[in-house]
Amino acid sequence: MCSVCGCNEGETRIEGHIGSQRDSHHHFHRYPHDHLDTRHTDKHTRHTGKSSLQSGIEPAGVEAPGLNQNGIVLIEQHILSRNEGYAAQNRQLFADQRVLTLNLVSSPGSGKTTLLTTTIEGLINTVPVAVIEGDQETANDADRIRATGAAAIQINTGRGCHLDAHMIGHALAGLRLEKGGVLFIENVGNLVCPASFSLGENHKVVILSVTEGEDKPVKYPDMFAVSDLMILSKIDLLPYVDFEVERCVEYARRVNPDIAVIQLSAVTGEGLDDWTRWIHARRVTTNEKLPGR
Amino acid sequence: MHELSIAQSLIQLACKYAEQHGASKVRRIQVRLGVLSGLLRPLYFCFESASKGTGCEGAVLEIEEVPLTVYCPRCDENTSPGSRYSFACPTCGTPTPRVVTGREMQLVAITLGGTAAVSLSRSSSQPTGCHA
Repeated sequence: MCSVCGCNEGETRIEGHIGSQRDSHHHFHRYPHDHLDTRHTDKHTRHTGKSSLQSGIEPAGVEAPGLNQNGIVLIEQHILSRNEGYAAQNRQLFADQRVLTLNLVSSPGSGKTTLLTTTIEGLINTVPVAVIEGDQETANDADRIRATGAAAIQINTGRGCHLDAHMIGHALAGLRLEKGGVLFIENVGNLVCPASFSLGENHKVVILSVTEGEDKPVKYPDMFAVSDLMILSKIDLLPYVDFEVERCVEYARRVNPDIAVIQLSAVTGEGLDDWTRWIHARRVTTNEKLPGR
Repeated sequence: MHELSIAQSLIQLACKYAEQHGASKVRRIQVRLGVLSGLLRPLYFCFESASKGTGCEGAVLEIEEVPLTVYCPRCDENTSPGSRYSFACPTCGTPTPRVVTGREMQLVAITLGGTAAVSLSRSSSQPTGCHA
């Protein structure tokens, strides 16, 4: 547990920043990152010396509810309201910066990082790009991203199987987000758990490589149900694998009738234009939705 | 293993409300889960180990499972598809992404134990032993 604010980060490590059991643990919150109970908030207030931090006002809208004569407290609150509160703060930061944030999810080995480096190379001359990399261990992926010239920060989750909004809040404090840019969050390779945790992103994008099998959308429906776009990657390998694209798309639309689909290969470049166009279109629609536009 | 994170979130939330009401223990936790959460069995499985050493240790976990209901734009009514991930109207077959019920993941209520069960005090200046 963090000795400063009491947040329970477990084994999470963010580059240059050991997340647990160190007295020197620093919090880089650059926006009011009020923890969801009053004790946390008080500690934050002491720690930062900022009086602007809200004390006892909780982003998830928690109020002390009534208690009946049988000792039953009615609550009716989302179990992940704490994560949702942090996600709302992240979302607000992205909106303030007019940054399009995409949460990339897939199983391990789908080619997320290769696709990301290729995508960044195509974008970086015209659009500011930043990346948050999530893996259980190593900073290999963040190193690969930085080699493209994009800003990147690595989160290592230890035994954790997904990124959550609190980790993203910490990572954002160490990452420069330029106005109007794109932030890619590469989640931990896992087709199950990241589906449940909002990071404050604008869209989840699920990447499925054609080497994985066309029935993944119905085997792991949660992830495909919460994603706005499915990228079928490694299509240059289609002649060598038993994978029917149409059947895969039909499976995906069975669990999510609205999901968009793009087929591409980061190796041959086929379909990359469709992906880049999708990103630019989302940048426009994201900014149009913001107040004051 | 995200069910462990979710169990921990549930326990933190329950303990926080117990503390607000001056209770040291939670005796019962009532939860509402939609079938799409896929958490019914995993949560039961994780709860005991996740609650060890917290104010929720030994609490009874009661889960109400909410079935999948979708809105069919063609029939203009809510219907219940046969299977968990069949987002189509069972009457006319029209696909629909509009889920009405089935995504719930709520802490509904807790029953307090410890001091509050006796005193029903509404707040406590002494935080109790919930460390989830």
